[in-house]
Amino acid sequence: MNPDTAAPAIFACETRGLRKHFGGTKAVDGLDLRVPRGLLYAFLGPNGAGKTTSIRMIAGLLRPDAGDIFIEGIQLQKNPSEAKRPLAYVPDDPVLYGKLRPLEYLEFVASLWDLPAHTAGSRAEELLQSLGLWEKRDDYIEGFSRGMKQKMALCGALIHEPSLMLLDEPLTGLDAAAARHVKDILLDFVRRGNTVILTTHILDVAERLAQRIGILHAGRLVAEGTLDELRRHAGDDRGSLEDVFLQVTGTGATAAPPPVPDSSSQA
Amino acid sequence: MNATWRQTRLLLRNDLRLLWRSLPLGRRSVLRFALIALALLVAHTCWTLVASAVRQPSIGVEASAWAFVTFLMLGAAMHRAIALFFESSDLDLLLASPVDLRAVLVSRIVAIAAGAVLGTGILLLPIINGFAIGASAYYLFGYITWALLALIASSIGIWLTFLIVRWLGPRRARTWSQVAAAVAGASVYLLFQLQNMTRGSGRTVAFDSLFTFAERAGFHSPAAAARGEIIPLVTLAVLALAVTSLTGRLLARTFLSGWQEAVVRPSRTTRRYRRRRAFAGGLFRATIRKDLRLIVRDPLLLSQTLPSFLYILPAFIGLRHFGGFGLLAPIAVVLAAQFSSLLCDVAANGEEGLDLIRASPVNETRLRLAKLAAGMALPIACALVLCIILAFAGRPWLALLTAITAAAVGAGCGWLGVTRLSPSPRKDLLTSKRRRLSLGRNIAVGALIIVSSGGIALVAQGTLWFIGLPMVGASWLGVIACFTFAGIEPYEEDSVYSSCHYATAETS
Repeated sequence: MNPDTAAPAIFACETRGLRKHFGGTKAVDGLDLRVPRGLLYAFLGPNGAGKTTSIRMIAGLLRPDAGDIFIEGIQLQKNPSEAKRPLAYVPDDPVLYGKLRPLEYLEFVASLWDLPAHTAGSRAEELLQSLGLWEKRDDYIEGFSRGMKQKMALCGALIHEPSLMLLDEPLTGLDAAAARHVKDILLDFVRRGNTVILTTHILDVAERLAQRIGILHAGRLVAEGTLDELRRHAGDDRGSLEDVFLQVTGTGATAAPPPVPDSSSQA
Repeated sequence: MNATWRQTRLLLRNDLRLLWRSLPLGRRSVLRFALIALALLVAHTCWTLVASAVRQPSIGVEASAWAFVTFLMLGAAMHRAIALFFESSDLDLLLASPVDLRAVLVSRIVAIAAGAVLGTGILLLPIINGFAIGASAYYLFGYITWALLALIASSIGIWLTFLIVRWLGPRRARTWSQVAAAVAGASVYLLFQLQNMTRGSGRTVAFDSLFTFAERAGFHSPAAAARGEIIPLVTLAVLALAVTSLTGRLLARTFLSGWQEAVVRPSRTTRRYRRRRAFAGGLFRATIRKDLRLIVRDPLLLSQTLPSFLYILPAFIGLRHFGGFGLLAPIAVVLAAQFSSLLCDVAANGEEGLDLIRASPVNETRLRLAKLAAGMALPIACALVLCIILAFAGRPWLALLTAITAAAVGAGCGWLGVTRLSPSPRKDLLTSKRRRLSLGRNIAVGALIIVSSGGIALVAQGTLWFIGLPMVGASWLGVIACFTFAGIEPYEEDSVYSSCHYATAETS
């Protein structure tokens, strides 16, 4: 193909020079990100690195001080309604309507994305059944466990069949079975050609799930790529993601552990 | 000093400090202090004048007032008991520490009683002081009575709370304890309104026998104690100390056996699957359905709004003798406007899924209009029932005018509610913890209610219709002004609840 005539690549998500300040604190400082379609991208970073702020800006929940965001090639600031149409966002602690039942919740979510009623109804049933919530369809959401709420939020995110899903710490607080289920859902979503961007501080999750990883530190993207690329970046070809992460963020130096009282001397 | 006593003092100091900081007074706002001081001064003056004129009201009236205050304290005690025993994160720390269990429990009981006293302070302080200044210094014994009743209410409140928690679990117990307390408090008031309404008929015999029974059961004792009569005062003191001591002992046994943890049952779920209804098509219908469901399924909201119905309606019905059925017209307008404003505010600002909505491509104006419709639905339905009664009572044109005015003014007040944005947790929406209030919008709602209901009342009264009709017309113009000039407020940037769409976004 002639490179001069090739159409410019459209990324599932692209940010250019994204900046955000909170008072005197730089939360995000010039984030340039390009996430191609059809992969799972993980944002890593220590606490306060700007992961959640970045993802909330991409979801259209926070206005950046500077920079541009494109969702599937549509500029979010200029055309928010169209840009948000292929998007789904699941926060770390999803606030669901406690006094609604699952189907009632999904009815409302589907209406927000203008889904036809008959399509929404059958899709809701399908989702609840696949995520094991069908038996709970007559219960109020307020009585659900944390894992069930997370699955409910995922149902809400998936009902309009988005092509880009943003998840903020999706596995926090889940037990092993629920975490496995959520991971399977995300991998299946990506396998169908869709894109996932998630933030996590669980390095193991990023190492096992993500095709590309971005490491944020003090609001800046300090490293990005596949795990192998990150290893090369860190100059440690055999290191684990944890080694790479600690080296890249410069947080490897650990403090001395606190002294443990000597039980024999007390006896 | 006894170690238990020292620990109790320490814990109590901590609990009272936390209680003080949870009050709006705890935030050192000079203006707020000044306003409260002014209100207290005015209330003291008014009650002193009342006391000087009345000298000594009947013991039944005083006893009823004390019963009302006790119910209020009971509600406050139940509310605080849930917070201190089931939601306070420090209880595990305290129970795991070497602190004496009795010290923990006694400090908690006293803190609950102190919270109950503080909760009724604004109401009771001017009354006791007013009567002490204007009538007799013996009324100062009211302070002792107040404290003793607070101890009794706290003990009863704790046990009622434990029972409700056992039955419903702590989350629902918080709501239903408030419902129970509100209904109990309103019941004293309702009883007296019923008595007023049935005065002169044969039914007063029933009330007389009820009051005779209450008198024999010691209903008047708190009032007598508050007047400084020794025997009732000593009896009340002995009763309060006995109840408190018994509560302390039983609570200690309860905590040692782990009863309070074992009792919490999971929510009961019905396995009887209901027939699935088809999904609503479109944002407007789906939002109305969703917001209506959230309103009618919110017992906390109902507990906070229904008592105002309970208080307002008998007062209006009592005036029935003066205005006949025509009085239903202004009632319908007030109900429609007042509750539309309130429920629209709840629907808009109590929105729990704000992030979900902001991350969606939804059209903001359509969403707000749907919330307006959801908020108005119940109040307008109530107003329409009153209009139908009015029509059947022989005043169809007045009923029609009332229905139109109620709908219009309800829509205007509701619009002011849904366009104002101060998102708050649903449980705080009707409390003083509300983050931001809009004075201008509240004044506009008040003006609309006064002008429209006043106008309708004059039309209903008949002879002054030529003043009433222009007032009704003015209220309609006011509604048009609301929809014209009150735009949707932008979300506060960078706050927890920030923009739905960027304020600078081009419309697509």
